[in-house]
Amino acid sequence: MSGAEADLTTNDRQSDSVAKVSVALPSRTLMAYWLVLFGIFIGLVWKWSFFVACDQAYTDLPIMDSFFPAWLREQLVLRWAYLGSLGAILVAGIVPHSRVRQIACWALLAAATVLCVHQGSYNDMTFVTTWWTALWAVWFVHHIQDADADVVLSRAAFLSRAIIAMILLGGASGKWTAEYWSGEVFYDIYFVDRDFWLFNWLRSRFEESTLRDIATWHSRKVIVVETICGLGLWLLPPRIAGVVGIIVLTSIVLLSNVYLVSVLACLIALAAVGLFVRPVQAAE
Amino acid sequence: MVGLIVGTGSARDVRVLVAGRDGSKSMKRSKRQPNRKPGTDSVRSYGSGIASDRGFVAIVILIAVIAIWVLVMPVVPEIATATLRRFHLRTGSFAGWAAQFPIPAMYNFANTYQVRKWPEGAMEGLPVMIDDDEGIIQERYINHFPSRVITFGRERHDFLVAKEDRWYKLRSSYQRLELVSYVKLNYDDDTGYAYIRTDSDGKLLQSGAEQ
Repeated sequence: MSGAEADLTTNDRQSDSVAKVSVALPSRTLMAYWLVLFGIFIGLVWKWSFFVACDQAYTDLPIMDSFFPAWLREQLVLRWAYLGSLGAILVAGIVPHSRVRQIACWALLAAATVLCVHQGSYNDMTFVTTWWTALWAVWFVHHIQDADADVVLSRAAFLSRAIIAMILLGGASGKWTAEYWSGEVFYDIYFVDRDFWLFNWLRSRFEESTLRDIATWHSRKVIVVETICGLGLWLLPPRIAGVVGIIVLTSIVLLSNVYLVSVLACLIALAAVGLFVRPVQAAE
Repeated sequence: MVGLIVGTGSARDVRVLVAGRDGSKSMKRSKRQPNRKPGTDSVRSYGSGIASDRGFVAIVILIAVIAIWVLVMPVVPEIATATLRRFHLRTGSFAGWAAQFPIPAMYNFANTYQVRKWPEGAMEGLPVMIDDDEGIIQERYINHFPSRVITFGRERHDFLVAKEDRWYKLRSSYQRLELVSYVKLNYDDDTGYAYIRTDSDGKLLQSGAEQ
């Protein structure tokens, strides 16, 4: 594992003895790995209180729908899949044993899979983005100790921007419809009564007719940005893609909905992987 | 001996400052890896040995398949229809529905929901009351999976906490396609709510089957 080491030495002139203090800095691969795990963790705990409330509500108000297998309607399964995912992240991040890390990442992926198809959580995109990031982590953890860190990080960065591009493209294609182009959907979801700083400010400043126009252009901006990034982000150089991805994803949170941190925190961390790719040095 | 390893920002160019016992100092350069030409980093650095990295190849293929799926959705009605049914929990089988979970669907399609205290049309033929209550509790747009208003979060609590029967009308549209689903939640003190799919007249549909 590559890394920089600083040997700090003191030279005792009298005895010529040497005292060494070695400080091993984490490698780039390890830092990227930790960053992504941190992003997944933040996303999952961001709505902790919300999920606790859901847990109580689902227990009190069970819904029998034979579309779902019985075990995927059980609140206990949902609870343990969620808590298990958090535990897997902690193990994957803390335990410095490669086999344990790999197992923990696979466990995270399995827990995220359950969360994506359980009756009480299938619709929450938090778990879809968690699943994709966990998939990346599973691949990465199997290569984290490869000899050539540059190759690993280059491939990791490609996967990260391909995943983010695909997710943005999926969001875009579903909005290629008249109701989004007109702004009608976003107007009702956000502009009418969403309690968020931006929409609160807009409602205080503008009449309804103006709000509808703003909603139209806001919606078109979202469609265009998602489409362009969905089609092109994966083609960019890794560091540029990383910066663009971080900016676009962060702006979605800041301009829409604070709850979206749960969906996008892991993707923001994934985008940052591109920043760990070393720029090519000029040939001498 | 005093030794100070100075990293210059590249593992390929680590220089070692070595001080001898006599106080002399010399700079030794470690063996450098061959320089890469500018602009080839993205291709060369991860291209070598890629065929042997089956995990990488598998993930890239999965991403490509899903990207193509969402890209052609606007022009392939079958894909859009499958997505509409996915959003309404009306895919032909749970396995077929579950297999679509990796497909991202954030703020997809124009989805609306209507939550009712009694079914649509239940008051037809009855005398019109002064305070005509159509029985609609709420009617809004929703971002994706309109069925979430029944199964998820605050909506599940708020609409069901009264522990009374509820009727839902879910509508999703995408370009020229539209799907409308009617769901009744039957409340029982012992078993909770039963999720019943019906047609527009309230006739029972087989759970999860297409109409």
